[in-house]
Amino acid sequence: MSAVTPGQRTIVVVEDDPEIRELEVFLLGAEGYRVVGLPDGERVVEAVQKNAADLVLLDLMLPKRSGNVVLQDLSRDETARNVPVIVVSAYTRQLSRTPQVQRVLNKPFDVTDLLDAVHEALTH
Amino acid sequence: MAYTHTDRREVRSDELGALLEASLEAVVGMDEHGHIREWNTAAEAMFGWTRREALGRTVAETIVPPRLREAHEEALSRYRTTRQARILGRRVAITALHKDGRELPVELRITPIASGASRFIAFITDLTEVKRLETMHKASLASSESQRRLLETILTNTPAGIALVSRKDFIIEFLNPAFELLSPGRSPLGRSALEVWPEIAGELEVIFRRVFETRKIWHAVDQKVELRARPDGPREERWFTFDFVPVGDSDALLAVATETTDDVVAKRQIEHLADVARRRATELRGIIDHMTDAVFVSDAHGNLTLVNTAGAALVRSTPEDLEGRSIDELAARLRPLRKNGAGYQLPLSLALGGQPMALGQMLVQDPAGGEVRAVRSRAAPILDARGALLGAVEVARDLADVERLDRLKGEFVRVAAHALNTPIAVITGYAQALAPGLGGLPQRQREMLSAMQRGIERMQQIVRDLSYVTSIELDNLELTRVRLRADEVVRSVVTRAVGRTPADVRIELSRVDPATIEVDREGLEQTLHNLVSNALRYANRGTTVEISLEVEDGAAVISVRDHGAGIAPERQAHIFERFFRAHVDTPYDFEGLGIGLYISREIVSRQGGRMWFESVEGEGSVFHVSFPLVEGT
Repeated sequence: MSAVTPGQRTIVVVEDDPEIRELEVFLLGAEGYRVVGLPDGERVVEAVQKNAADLVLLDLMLPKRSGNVVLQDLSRDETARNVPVIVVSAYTRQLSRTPQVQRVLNKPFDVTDLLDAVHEALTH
Repeated sequence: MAYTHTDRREVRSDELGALLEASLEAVVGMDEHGHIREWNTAAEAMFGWTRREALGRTVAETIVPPRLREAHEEALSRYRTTRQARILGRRVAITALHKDGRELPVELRITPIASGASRFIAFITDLTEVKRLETMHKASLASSESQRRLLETILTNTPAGIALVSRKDFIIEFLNPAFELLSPGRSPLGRSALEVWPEIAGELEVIFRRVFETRKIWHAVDQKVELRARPDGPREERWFTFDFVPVGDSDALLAVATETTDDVVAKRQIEHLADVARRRATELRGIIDHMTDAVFVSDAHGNLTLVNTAGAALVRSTPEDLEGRSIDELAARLRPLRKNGAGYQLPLSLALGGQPMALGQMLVQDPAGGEVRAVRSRAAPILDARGALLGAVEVARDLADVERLDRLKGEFVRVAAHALNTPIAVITGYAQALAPGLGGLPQRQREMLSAMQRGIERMQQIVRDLSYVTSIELDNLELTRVRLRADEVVRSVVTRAVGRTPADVRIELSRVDPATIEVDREGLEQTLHNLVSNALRYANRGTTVEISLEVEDGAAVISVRDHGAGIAPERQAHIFERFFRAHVDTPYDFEGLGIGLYISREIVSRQGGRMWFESVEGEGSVFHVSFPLVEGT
């Protein structure tokens, strides 16, 4: 177990595949984080604002608004642009990187890698 | 004995003289001593002597040929003694002598002027003309006889049947043996043709009347006649050509029958063969036309003799339009794209040039759409039984379908591999989530969980490999080259591998030089992972897999060495081939897809690197990967 106590930290998980989303929510929840899952890229900025999110896990291939567009949305928002993002995708090459992107993880991800990355992003 | 001219005159009375002169026969008077006493005008003409010349000469010296003179003298002398001569009063054919020495056949009759008198008179007829006519007649008789015999021989022996049919009642007046064969039953000689051949009497009558009326030859070609070779034999079909020829004033006609059975049979066979050939050609044409491959056939001179529908479609034309054109025209229409500006020769041309099997692959630009298609073709010369060149055939296949199918397959595998990612991720995730609580699990369950994880890893690896293979095949392998420390990557790969080594096999990093290279990180990791996994898999128990990174000659050379199975020499040449499994059917057959090394080498060579190996069967292998160092490091 991590030495850091997650406590009230909130993570928004944007993932269209329900099983993967559920897994991520489960894993992070098990680590003690508060997790909000979103199935598409439409209301990410809103969710980040509303939940005062500390981190976004973002898939790239998303219905309605792609991950890259979501990154643009986030960077245009005053508060959201400061929230770190971890991209989790099978198509990481398509990523248009923004300063918010802290880490890029390939799908399928290694659970340890994911948890380490989340932990790292929240501690910095 | 001497007589005066006057004496002789006295002898001749006026009546007698007139008679003698008027006689058409030569009249020669002679005394018992053989002296000429009379000589008329006819005698002058016959023997060439004038009366004046002849009188007083002896008959012997004047008109008797020398060889007969002795007999003449004897007869004369005998007469003088016996007053008898056999010759007297008879017609005698004898030879006489002309003044010019020529002998002439004559008929002679000698009469004593008075009984017991010593004078004779001879009446002589020249038989020369008679003899000539006689000779001519004899000769003519002989010649017509020989001609008759000749004709008979011909008629008897000729294979042509010949019969003479009279106008009246169409009676067969004559027929030769060959014609007799055409007649059933008893001999047709003397019978009416209509009666002899009742089945065709109607036709015969029409023909005969026509021939007699028009006096023109009637020709009936290849008429079937059923004949029996023997009277009790089976009827057999034979064919004859009949000519009905009017003869003379058309009171008869000649029927000439020539057997044409052999011709007809031969003609029928030829027609049958031609029919079979035509049918075969049609079938072949049908087959060739429905082939999906393009077919071009050329004669020895380079003219297209056959183009099928698919072939014509390649140049947006029709077989009818292309057949007869030269292969150069075809080449121009195919518009093969030239490589390096070099002239492309159709395989068909090469085959015509004597190349036994010409292969070619060309890109063809569609004349209408400008679409470029790949066509693979092969051509071969067509030779006759003696090996002489008759032409050549080219069969070309449009690879569009093959390539499309191949792409589709690749795409399918790619999608399938990708689709597997998610379930694998889910399983992996939960399995890993369980891991922190492993300590609380019973031993048995811990083992099960561990086995699940190994299975999952293997699945992940397969999916990764398949993704790589399809990317390579679809030519969309994306390699992002970044500067990185090769030594760090090596260490991290080895560190991860340490946890998965089989029992009794150790991994050892023998030497790791620092080296910066520019490659795709994931690709390099994948490559090294493949090499290390292979080494661990084929290493013998109790051995060490040695891994090193050495900088030499401006390159980073990573080597993975194992002591184990090694690769059989005959398989070494193939190990980088896709789906080649070097250890199949050996005790080291650990399954797998046979694509790890194929992928690795593709990844390496596409980034300017090299990959090679040395291996001894039963001792082990060492695989090397080298990349050039980035300048300034």
